[in-house]
Amino acid sequence: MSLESGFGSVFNSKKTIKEEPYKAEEDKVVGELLDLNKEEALLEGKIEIAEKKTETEQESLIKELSQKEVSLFQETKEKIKKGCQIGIVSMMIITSLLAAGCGAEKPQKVNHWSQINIEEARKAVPEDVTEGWVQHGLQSIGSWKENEGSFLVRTNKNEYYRINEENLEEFKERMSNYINQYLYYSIEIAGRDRELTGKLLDTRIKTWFDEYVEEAVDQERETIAYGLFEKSFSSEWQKLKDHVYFGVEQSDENQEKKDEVIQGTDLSDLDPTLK
Amino acid sequence: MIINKKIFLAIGIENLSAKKQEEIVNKLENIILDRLSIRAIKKLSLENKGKYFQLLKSAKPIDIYNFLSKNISNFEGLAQQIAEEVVSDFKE
Repeated sequence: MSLESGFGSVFNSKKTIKEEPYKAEEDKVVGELLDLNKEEALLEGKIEIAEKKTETEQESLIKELSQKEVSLFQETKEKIKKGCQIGIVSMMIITSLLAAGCGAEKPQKVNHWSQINIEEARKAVPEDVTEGWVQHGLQSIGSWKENEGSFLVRTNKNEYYRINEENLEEFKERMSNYINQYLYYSIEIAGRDRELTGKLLDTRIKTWFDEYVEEAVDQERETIAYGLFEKSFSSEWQKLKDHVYFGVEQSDENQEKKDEVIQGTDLSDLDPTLK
Repeated sequence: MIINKKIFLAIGIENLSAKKQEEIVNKLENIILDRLSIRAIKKLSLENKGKYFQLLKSAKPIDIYNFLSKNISNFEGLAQQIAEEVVSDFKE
């Protein structure tokens, strides 16, 4: 054995010993990268299938629309999507994903962690703003109490409803739960954009009363106000207004309206929101 | 991005790079919103469909949301159903 070959074999054997662990590590990394690439390709494939499904749905819709409607739809698509994305959709995506089993939270723990999230949401949104929403909701009732203990309610759309005291309390509780739920679902948005969250909640609280009460009465849909309100009329409202402001005595259904004005009417029955 | 990190675990993309995660989540959101835009029109009554297309010309996104929310029975439920459908397909 020559010196060269002798050294060569020594060097070669040393090289093999040094490289073996490195090679194994390299193979592992390469393997992981290949797996990751496969995973990414698989996910991309799934997304592509989902996008094709959506395209098919869109083609079917286009067949049902006029040419003018199709071009309007295409032109405003991004705006429509932004509209859909506002508030409720974002919250539903999160909710559905949570429901699909993400994270450590299980459904039976919902009450516990949703309460925590409500508190987080409350921290994200200034206290005076949330107080304002609650007050606005209560003022929307815009009612005053009748002698029999029920309230007349006028919505912003000049629709009239009647609610008794017990139902009013129940309604307030449902409304409070609603606001809390909304705050909880909005936690993601609240964390990112406080101003947007404020605007969304403000819009929601200001419009939901009319929607819910009217739908509950007219269509008997399952809403917050369902079963709590009865339809009333502007004449009843006017009668009550006359009684409160001018002391005109309220006549019952079979009696003619009296025009007698009572002096020194006690206004203590007036709802505080009207003072 | 409206989906938080917990969601990555649910849809099995937690091992991917942050950039890739964001890309996938954005694509999923886009699919959900596309489908909702399409199905919302299908859910509108003939009369409301006419009003909706009138509104589209000048409306802001918030007006579109308010209109759909008011005129589609359980619009929120529809959004939820589509989101669940897309996520479920993705998880399969």
